[in-house]
Amino acid sequence: MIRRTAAVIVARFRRRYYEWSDSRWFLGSLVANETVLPLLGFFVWQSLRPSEGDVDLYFYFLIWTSIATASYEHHSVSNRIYDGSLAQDLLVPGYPPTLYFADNLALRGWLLALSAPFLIPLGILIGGFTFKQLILFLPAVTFAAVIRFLLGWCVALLAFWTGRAASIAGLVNALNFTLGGVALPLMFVESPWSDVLVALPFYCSLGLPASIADGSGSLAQGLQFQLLWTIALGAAAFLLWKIGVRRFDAVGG
Amino acid sequence: MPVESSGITADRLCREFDVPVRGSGVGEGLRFLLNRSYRRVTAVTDLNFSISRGEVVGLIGPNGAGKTTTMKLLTGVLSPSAGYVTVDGYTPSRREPNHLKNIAFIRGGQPLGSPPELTVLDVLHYNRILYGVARSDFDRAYDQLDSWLGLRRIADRQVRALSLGERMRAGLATQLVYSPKYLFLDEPTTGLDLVVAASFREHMRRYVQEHDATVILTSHHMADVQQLCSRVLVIDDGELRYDGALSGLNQLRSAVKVIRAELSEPLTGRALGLRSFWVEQSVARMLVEPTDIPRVTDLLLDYGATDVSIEDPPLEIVLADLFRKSEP
Repeated sequence: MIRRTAAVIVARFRRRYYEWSDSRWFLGSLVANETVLPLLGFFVWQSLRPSEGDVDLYFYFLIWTSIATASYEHHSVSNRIYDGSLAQDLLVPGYPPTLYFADNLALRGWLLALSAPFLIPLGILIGGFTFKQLILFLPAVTFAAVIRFLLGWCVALLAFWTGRAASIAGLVNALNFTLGGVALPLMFVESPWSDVLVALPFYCSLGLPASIADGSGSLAQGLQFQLLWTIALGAAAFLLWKIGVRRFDAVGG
Repeated sequence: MPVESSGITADRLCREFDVPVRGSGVGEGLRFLLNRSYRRVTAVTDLNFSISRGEVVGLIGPNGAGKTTTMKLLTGVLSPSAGYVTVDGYTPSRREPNHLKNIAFIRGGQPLGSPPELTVLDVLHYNRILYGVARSDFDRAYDQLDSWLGLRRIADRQVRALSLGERMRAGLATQLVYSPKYLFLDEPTTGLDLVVAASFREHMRRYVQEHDATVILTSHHMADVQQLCSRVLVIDDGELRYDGALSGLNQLRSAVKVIRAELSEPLTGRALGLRSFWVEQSVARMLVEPTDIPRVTDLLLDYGATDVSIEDPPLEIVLADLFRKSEP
């Protein structure tokens, strides 16, 4: 079972890797897409509160987080449900969601590879962080990547029930922007609102790793929320897939 | 787990769908927004057949007859509403990996189903890893497919740069590279020219011989059915109308004749008391029982038809007549 799943992930990862090796403009536009909103937040907060907190560092790590957690399943998977090509995936000898998980890994791999030559020198230029902060950033960004994938995946699976899952995806994107720490970094939010924000999946999948890296967030508390959301969204994703495929079957595939 | 049975068995197989329905008008639109109505539609009903290992069977019928639904039930994309189906002892809708490694579902409209940026070799390797094919088996299969399909010439080409015929060859290769024992071919020659379609049939024939593969084929091209299938299942309106040897359909063909006539004025089948009547560029063709030929030819001559001749009907016309008889 584990070998089979690993084989499916390797096969799909290779496939997507080769596919996107031919799509440099597409990948470039995705990198820009993931970068532009954190940059916007940076310029706004740098002008409004130049002396408060470590704005440079927070948004620098937010850009890394945004790229490392990029997920587009709400487009790609929902389209396969709508046009019926999901049927092909159902006939693959393995658990079909692993195909999309591998797609996601391959995409992030490409986005990180393309953005690293710009972001690493930028980090050296900004400075002000220690090796320990980088190490603490890694588990938080890994969980964030899982949460953002699961959130996008759950939204994508709503395409089994609604003909317009894109509108829900748009809502989730807006919530990511407003509540995920892009438009409103937690360092500028007063309690009790900051306590609410930090517990939401949007913040757990974007702002949290950046706040841990810049030293303003608590790793222990953050990881607890991340773990909870991973379990909750993982269970939701499992159920939505199971019930959704049954519905796909009911309407004729 | 598979039960001890090879081949394909369908027993009282039935599939229904709930399709949304809405009346016209503003009020109906509002009502539909708040509360959707559904109607139950029967796609296939009470299908019974069994196909032995190594048999090549044609599944034919008009558009909307239930052929693709049947294929989806047999491959496991859909599960039956009632009845059951087994393929090589497996229940397809459970989609067990060992079963999925044994089947290939090739659709003529989308033979490759791969991203256009990939090369043919990328897709072959994708299936190699996905289906757990050992490297030595892959190399052997690749050499064989190359000798059949000229694979090496297109191996490093991207899918988007392939012609339709090349795409079909590549699609076939990527599905055969893991040596499936059961092939489900849904309109495999759609869009292919006569030469490529004939070549496709030749490759299929060889594959079936060498691998003792079981094949179910749907096609609107009777040449596919005639050259590949020893047996046909005729399905119409979701029901099985005929299950037997292709020669049985040929006997049905000999029981009727086609009268061909040049028309000098417009004429309908109703005027001649016939249901099977086609006109193309003032040449009419009609299916007639042998005993009815004198009456129809006399009537045609009365209407001023010229160049009247009697022919054996092609299989397509026999089938069209068969489907027409089943209409209410």
